[in-house]
Order: sequence, then C-alpha cells, then structure tokens
Amino acid sequence: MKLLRTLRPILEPNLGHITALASLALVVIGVLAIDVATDGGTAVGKQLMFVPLGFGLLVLIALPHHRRICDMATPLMIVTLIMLVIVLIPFMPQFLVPMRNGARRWFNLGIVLFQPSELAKIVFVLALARYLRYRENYRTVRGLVQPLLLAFLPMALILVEPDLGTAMIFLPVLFAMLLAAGAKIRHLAMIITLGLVLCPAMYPLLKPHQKARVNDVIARMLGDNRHEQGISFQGKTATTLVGAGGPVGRSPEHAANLVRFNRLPEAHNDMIFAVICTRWGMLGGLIVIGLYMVLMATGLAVAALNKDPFARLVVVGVVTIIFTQVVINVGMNLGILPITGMTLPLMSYGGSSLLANFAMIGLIVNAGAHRPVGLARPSFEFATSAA
Amino acid sequence: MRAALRRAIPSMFHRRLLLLLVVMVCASGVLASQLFRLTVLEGESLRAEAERVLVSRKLIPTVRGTIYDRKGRVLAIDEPCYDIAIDYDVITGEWAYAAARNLAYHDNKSSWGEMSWEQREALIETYIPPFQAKLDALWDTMVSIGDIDAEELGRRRRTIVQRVQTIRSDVWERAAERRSQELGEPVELSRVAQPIAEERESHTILSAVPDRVAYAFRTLSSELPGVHVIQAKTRRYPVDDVTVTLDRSTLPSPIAVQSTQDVTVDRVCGHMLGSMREVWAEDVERRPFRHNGGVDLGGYLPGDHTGLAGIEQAEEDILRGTRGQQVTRRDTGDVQRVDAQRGHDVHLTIDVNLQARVRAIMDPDFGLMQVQGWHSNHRMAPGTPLYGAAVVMEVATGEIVAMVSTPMPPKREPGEPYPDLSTHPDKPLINRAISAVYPPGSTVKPIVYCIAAKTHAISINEQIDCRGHLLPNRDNLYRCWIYKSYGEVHGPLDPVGAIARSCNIYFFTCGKRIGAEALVANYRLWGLGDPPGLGLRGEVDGLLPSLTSPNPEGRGLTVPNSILMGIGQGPIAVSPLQVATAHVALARGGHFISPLLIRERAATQVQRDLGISRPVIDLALEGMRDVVEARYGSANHLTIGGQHEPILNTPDLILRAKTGTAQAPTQYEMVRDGHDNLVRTDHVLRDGDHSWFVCHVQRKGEESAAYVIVVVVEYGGSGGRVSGPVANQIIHALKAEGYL
Repeated sequence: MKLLRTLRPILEPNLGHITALASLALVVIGVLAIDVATDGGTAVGKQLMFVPLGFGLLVLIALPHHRRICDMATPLMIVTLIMLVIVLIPFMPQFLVPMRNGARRWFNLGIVLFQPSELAKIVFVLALARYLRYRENYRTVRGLVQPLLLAFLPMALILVEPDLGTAMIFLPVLFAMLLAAGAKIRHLAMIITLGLVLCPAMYPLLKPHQKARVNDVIARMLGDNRHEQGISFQGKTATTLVGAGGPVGRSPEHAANLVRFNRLPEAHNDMIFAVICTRWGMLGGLIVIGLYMVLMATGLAVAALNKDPFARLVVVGVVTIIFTQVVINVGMNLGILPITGMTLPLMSYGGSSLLANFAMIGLIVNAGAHRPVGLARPSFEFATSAA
Repeated sequence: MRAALRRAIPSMFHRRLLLLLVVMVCASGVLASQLFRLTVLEGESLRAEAERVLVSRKLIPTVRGTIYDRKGRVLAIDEPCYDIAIDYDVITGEWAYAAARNLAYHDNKSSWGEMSWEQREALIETYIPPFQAKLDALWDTMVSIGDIDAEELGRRRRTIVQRVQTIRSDVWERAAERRSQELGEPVELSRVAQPIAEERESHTILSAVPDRVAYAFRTLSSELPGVHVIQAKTRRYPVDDVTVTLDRSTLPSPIAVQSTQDVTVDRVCGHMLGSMREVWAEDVERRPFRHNGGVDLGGYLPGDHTGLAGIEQAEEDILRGTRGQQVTRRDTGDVQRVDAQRGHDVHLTIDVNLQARVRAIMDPDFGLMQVQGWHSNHRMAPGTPLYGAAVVMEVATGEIVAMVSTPMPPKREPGEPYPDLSTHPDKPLINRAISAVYPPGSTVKPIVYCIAAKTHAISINEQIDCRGHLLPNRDNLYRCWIYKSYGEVHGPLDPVGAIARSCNIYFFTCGKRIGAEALVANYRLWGLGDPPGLGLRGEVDGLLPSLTSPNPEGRGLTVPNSILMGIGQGPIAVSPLQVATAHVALARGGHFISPLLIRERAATQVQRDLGISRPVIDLALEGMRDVVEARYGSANHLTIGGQHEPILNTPDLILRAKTGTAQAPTQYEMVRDGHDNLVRTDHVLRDGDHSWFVCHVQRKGEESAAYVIVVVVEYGGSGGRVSGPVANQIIHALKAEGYL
C-alpha cells in the first residue's frame, strides 16, 4: 500500500504514459532488431538486462517533484563539467580514462564505461531550464549571451574529446529551449544565420576523418561511388540494406543473412535503423519514425499542459535531444547525412545509452505527472508587441 | 494570418511548441520520403545488390581445343602447368610499407591516435627493415629456384608494373569520360582514381615452371610474402624447333654437295597458327562474362587468353570452350554446378612435316633464298637474304598441304614486350601466302588463253603473229619481252607456243579481244580477286577493278586495262594462294574449287565449272609442259657458267610450269624524322622484280596433276631462275614425305 501511495502521482493517467508506452515499443522493436543484427549473439541478453534497470531509473526520476530536480541542476552541472575536464587531462591513467579510436570520452567505472557527455546533455537541459525559468532578459540580444555561454562550455569540452556528434546536439537543444521560452525569433534567426555563414569557415578545423565523411556524403549524393569499399562502405552498405528491405521487409533468416554477409559495420548499434528496414521494410521504418513522432508530440503536449516553467523547458529540451539524435541517426542510415557516432535513442545496443534515454523519458513522465499546485503564474507568455 | 493564429492559440508558449512540432514533422517527412525512395523506388536494384553477396561463384576452367594437322599430329594443345604468381603490392615493393604500418599500428594502438603524421611515418620507418629483408629473400629465392636471371626478373617486374599502370590510366580515363557524360561537365582524373582489380591481384612472374620448381615454391610459400603457385594451362605448340635433313645433291651446281644438311626451323606453322595473348578491353566488351546482371560462361574475363592471329584467332569461338561454374548460396548452402565444356578441336589440311621441309628449303641458310650468282641480280649483294611465300595445294580437293611465308617474326616470350614490327622493311608479321598481293604476271597466261577461247575472243587453235609490239605504229608501247630485251620477234604462234614462250603479244591480243569487263568477270570466276574463304583473318581478296562501281578516278575500265590484264599486269594484284587456286582449277580441267585449310569449314567450300572445253585445257596444259621440257621454256634450265642445267630435276614425274615476273617498287630504307614520321632515305634496300613460279606436279600414269606448287620470291628477279629451284626442292620434299 505504501508503495502504491508512493507511486500514486505517476500512476494517474496522463499524457506522459503514452510517451512511456511509445518508448517501450521502440525498445522492444530495438531488441528484436538487435537479435536480427547479431544473429543469435549475446547482445540481446545484455540489452534485455538493461531494460528493467532503465525502467527503474525512469520511475525513479519520474517520482520526485520536479522542484527537487530543479534544485539539483546547478550542482549536477558543476560535477559534469569537472568530469568533462578530467577525461581531457593528458596523462590520466589508461585504466581510468581509456583511449578508444583516438578519442577520450569515457570513464572506466569497472563494470561499464561511463560517458560524461551522455550525462552532460541531460544536465545541460536541466541547468538551462533552471537558468531561464524566471528570467526575461533573453528577449534581448544581450540576454542571449549567458545561455549561449552555458551551451558553449560543455560543447567545447566535448568537441576536444573529440565527439562532434554529441557536441552538435547542444545547439538545437539550446535554440529549441530559447524558442519555447519566448526568445525573439528575430534574434535566434540572426544567430543561426550567422552560424550557418560561419559553418564553412569551421570546415578546416575538422579532423581529417570528419572532413572525409562530410566529403563522402556530398560525393555520394552527386553519384560518386568510387569509395564503396573505403570510407563510403558503412553508409553505402546501410542504404543498400535499407533498400533491400523493400516495402514490407524480409523473413528473419533472410534479413539476418543480408546484414551478416553484407558486413554492415555497427549493425546492432549506430546502424540499427538499416537493420530494422531490412527486416520490416519501409513499413517498419515508418512505424519507428511514427513512434518517435508520437513520443515527441506527447512530450510537447505534456509541456503544453504543465504550467511550471522549469518542467516545460526540461521537456522541450529532452524532446529536442531525442529528435535531433533520431534525425541524425536515421539521416545517416538513409545516406543523407554524414556518418557520425550517433546512436538511435532507445533502440541502439548499449546499456549506458539506454539508461540515459530512459532517464530522459522519466523527465517527461515527471512533468506529465506533477502539475503545479494551485494558481501558477503563466510562464513565457509575453505580449507580442508590434515589433 | 499571424493575428488569426494568436486568436486561435492565445498562449505564446503553445504557439512556439506548435512551431517546434511543425519542424519535427517536416524533418520526419524528409526522412520518410528518403525511406520511400530507397525501399520502393530503388528497392529492387538495391535488393539485388545486397543479395549478390549471398552467392559465391567458383569458376571451373575449361580446356581449349586442340589443333591437328592432316595426319593427326598435334599442332597446338592446352597443357596443365604451374605458374608462379606474385601479389602486385609485393612486385612493386609497397607491401613492405603496408606490412610495417600494420605492425606499427598494432604495437602502438593506444598512442596511435595522438601521433602526428610525421611521427607515425618515422615510427613505420623503423618497422620496415625486416619486411624489406623478406622481400629481398623472395627475389633471391626466385633467382635461385626459379632458374631466372636476376636482371630478367627485374625486367619482368617492371613490365608488369608498367602494364598495370597503363591499364590503370586507361581505366581511369574511361571512367572519367563516362562520369563526365553522366554529369555533363568535365571530371578530373583524381575523382575516379580508385585502385583497379589488377592492383589487388597477383601476376604471373614465372609461367609453366617445371613441377619441382612449383613444389619448391609451394613448400616455401608460407615464408615468402605474396607467392602463389597457380594451376594454370599453357598453350603448347609441339612442332616448334624442328630439325629437317635436306638433300643438297639436287640443288643448282654452285651450291650442290653430295651430302645432307640439317636445317632447324622454329614455329613451323607460325604464321598460320598464330598464338595466344591476354585479352584486351575490346575482347571483354565483345563478349563480356557479366552482362545485364547475368553471366555468360563463354564470355571473357580480364586475364583470360584469346587467339592472336592465324587459326587461334580465326577459330577462337570454336576452340575456346565454355567455363563451368559452381554457385553456392552462402545462406542456405545450396550448390549449383555447371560443368565446363571443352573447346572443339580443329583439324588442318596442312602436313606439318612437309610444312617443316618447305620452311627449311626457304630458309636463307639453305642457299636458295639468298642472292646467288646465277640469279643475274646485280642490284643486290650476293648473299642478301630473299623472302617470299610458297603454297602447295592438292588438286583433287583444293586442300592446302603446305603454306609458308618468310621471314618468320621473332618468338613471343610470355610477359615480355614484343618489338614493334609494323614498320619493319621485311614485314615479318605478314603471311605473304594469303595477305600479300602481287601482279600475277605471266602465270595467268594459260588461264587468259582459256578465257579467250571460252568467250570466243579467239578460236581454239588461233595463230597470232608476234611482231614485237602490239600496235603496228608504236614500237615503244605494249612490247613483247623478247623484243624489249633482244630486239627479236616470235613470229606466228599457236596457243601452245605462245604459252611455252610466254609471248606478250598473243595475250595482249587475247586481253584486248576479251574486253576488260569480261576479263575481270572471268578472273573472278577463277578465284582471282575474290575472297579465298579460308576463314583466316588477314586473307585478302586481291585487287581487281570493280565491275559495279568506277575506279577511284571515276573512270570505267579502258582498252589499255584489258591489254595489260591479258599478261597479268595493269589493275590486277593477287595473293600466291589465289594463283595456286586458279591453277588448281586449270589442273582439274576447268573445274574451280575454293581452297581449304580448316577441315571443319569443308562445308563452305565452293565448286563451279568454268565452262572451258577439254581441248582448250589440253592445249593450255601442253603449253605449260613445254615451258618445262622445251629448250626455250623459261622453266627449262638455269645457265650457270655457260652450262645449262635443268631447273626441275625429278625425271619420273610429269611436270608443267609457268614462270612470271611482277614489277616491284624499289625499296628504300625508311627512318623516323623528328616528328616521328617515316621518311625515305636514298639507301636502296631491295630492287628488282618479284619472281613467280607455278608448277603442276603429276605422277606418271595418272590423268591429271596431283599437286600445284606456287612460289613467289620478292625481289628475286625475273623468270624461273630464283623461284624455280625452290619449287624443285618442294617437289623433292613432296617425294620425301611420300606424296609422289
């Protein structure tokens, strides 16, 4: 009974439940696809192990009122920044900060490798939401400077690791949250335009392999297929397998053989969407995209119904993280975006990423479950002047 | 619009959320449309592409058909052998760097990411020596075990690298061209510069090695980098380097001795058989192994071999056979097997032993095919080698028993560059028996008589008075040879006398009366100027004016044309084979049969009656017999030191002959100028006329001749002095091989 009473706030029907159900459906499809991709390997078992853990984390995060979470935002941000700095300190012992594929992104926690940047995404959302919740000055250009700095600090640290993919997520999240908070679209558009103009200038700063990948996706779009065995291999194989699925997909054995003998790299991880399309075809791909749409739409609806400014912004931030990852990951699987190490939320193989995603869903469920008591000040409702 | 939206959704936060949602829906729409494009629009082709890897195809080699001579001796055969092949990156030496880089990376994985490019290169450098030592050991082993000179080995490696680089730039250029056509803009080579298949493959360095060498390499292959012992097939031509013992006692007295001489000839059927070469892109395009997504087992893959010239090229499609294949589904394990089909054999009408003898007779070392004193050829130094062709045909069947052309081009060694012989003054690549044309000269005179009698241009036994020149008032035009050389005349001649004395006036008159059109039409009936139909690439039709279209100057045939063609000059040039074919028709009593070399093509042989009455044939043949037997006959005797000795010295045979002279242009030495153009110098290489000799050989007691021999010696001088003794030795060779 006590447990039931504890869980009561999140058991009452609310839109967050639909978000959670959509997430669980995606996880189930993901596990089935991992089975196809690894063809009876041990990965499915490991992933299944993390599902109850993740669900527990979801509940744990959904339970307390978001005010408590708001209180923890600043200390969490500081801890995260420290961890991001530590992984970058040269001569850190390899057993603590292992180097993988030329990048230093992980903490070795003994049983699992922990990626501070995964945490940094969420903590950044919390910190920014906390910063913006009672302010109005971001409606001036000058007031946008602090939020931008708040984003650039973790971004820069993550870029140095290097982890371009994760670092890139911070920008859409920042702009989506500013937009939702009522920043002037004029200002945001100005900054984005400036950024886009500066983008080509950033190209020389990319690492050689990043340049090669950007060039590759552009080359392949122009019909240049000379690198099919080299740098294009991963992207080309993924699009081939997506196409091989046809409208409704292939039988489990056939799909598994196609994935295996085409030697799709990272089939159960970054390229899981290609495996889904091989197995269940366009239909499966559309269902997955549809489930993500349901997840994001109900998330935004949760934000709309909640009146608390912190909860509203957290949900917008979390939904944007998931949306950005989905677009980048599916985009690279479909051959329209360069290959970056970006997982498909809730579906790709990997325990820590699954936990992080469940934590984010937990934040949405939290916002759905906990309405502000009494009359709350309507947040982010500014008079839209003629200007 | 904005106002309406504000009224409908009063909350600014909600409007902003709506904006975010719209962005998300749009992005999902883009993803969904790309998904639709890949799965539905391109689904079929991408599926085929993905499924291709599920099938593993193993090709089963076929065996090329064997080529036999008329007595079943093997002329060309596929034999299993071992080749030693080396990976391309080992040949170039790049292997050492690649292996060193792999090891350096493996040993320093953790710090690799932090190293700069220069640091990595320096590190790799330290790893190279042991791998370089392995490479050096490999080449040392090749030299010691593979029986190959170190210099030669280096040359072969360079040749392979050069060849691959040539192919590569060719492939890249064509790829760039294709791409620029697709894109509609120029494409730089670097955009299509990907490694070609040849750079990933191994290349044969030692071909057809002895078994013990193959075994030695197989046992060593684990220690030596990139070495493969390949089961291959080699095309062997067993009648290579044949030594023939020739009797010198029947030669003209200045070079005759009472003993024999051993003459060694290589590639006895060289011009005729051709050889093998690796396929070019054009061959693969002609019949590709892969086309329209399917597989043609008879098609060509890069690295395949195909016939180069001669029978090997002419009968390529018959000899080649089709590969077999074993297709294994890697997912289900299903195996489908199609057996290889051996190529068909080809049988030639050639007798390789006789061919070898004729080759030996025409070897300048033997003495007949070099300038000799009795040739009375003062324009070339004694001992200058002479070249030409000889054809021996069986009268009854039209079969070619021997067909020789000299000189023979040098041997083609596998993997070695071949000299460019296309501008060689002696034209060794040309099979003169079928590909070279000469004015037939007096050899056609018996045939012109037959045509004149058939077309009633003259009566069968008509006498014509030789006054030295054809036109009474012009003594410098259309002259008889006897008038030109000695100022004499033949006087009245009947057909037998005219043929025996080779009187020009008689046949000028025949040609003039027959008329050019009728003469050309009849020449064609006799096989002169018509395709011989052997099936060999390079056989020529001969040059004869066309009856349907005007000559290049736009003029029709004229009376002077007909007069000159009456003595085998003017607008007529034919190959030695065509002269032999025409004389076979004469020896068969006016019944034409087209020549045959490949028995499998016997069904395409053409036969026709030429409509010549028997008395006419008999008179023509009687004239030819007088050419041999009468004192005045041009095939009767050689004059050596004031003494006469017979040209043909096989008294137990009935022989008929006709000599001929074909005017030839003086051959000057050509050199390349600064612009790589060939320019003529004043240095005379060869001068004089081409010499013809036609001989019908008949066994005593038989009704007609059994063989026709045609010999042409380029720049040999006029008449039978040069080519006659060659024909004489060929008759001896026919006897030695049991044909007479």
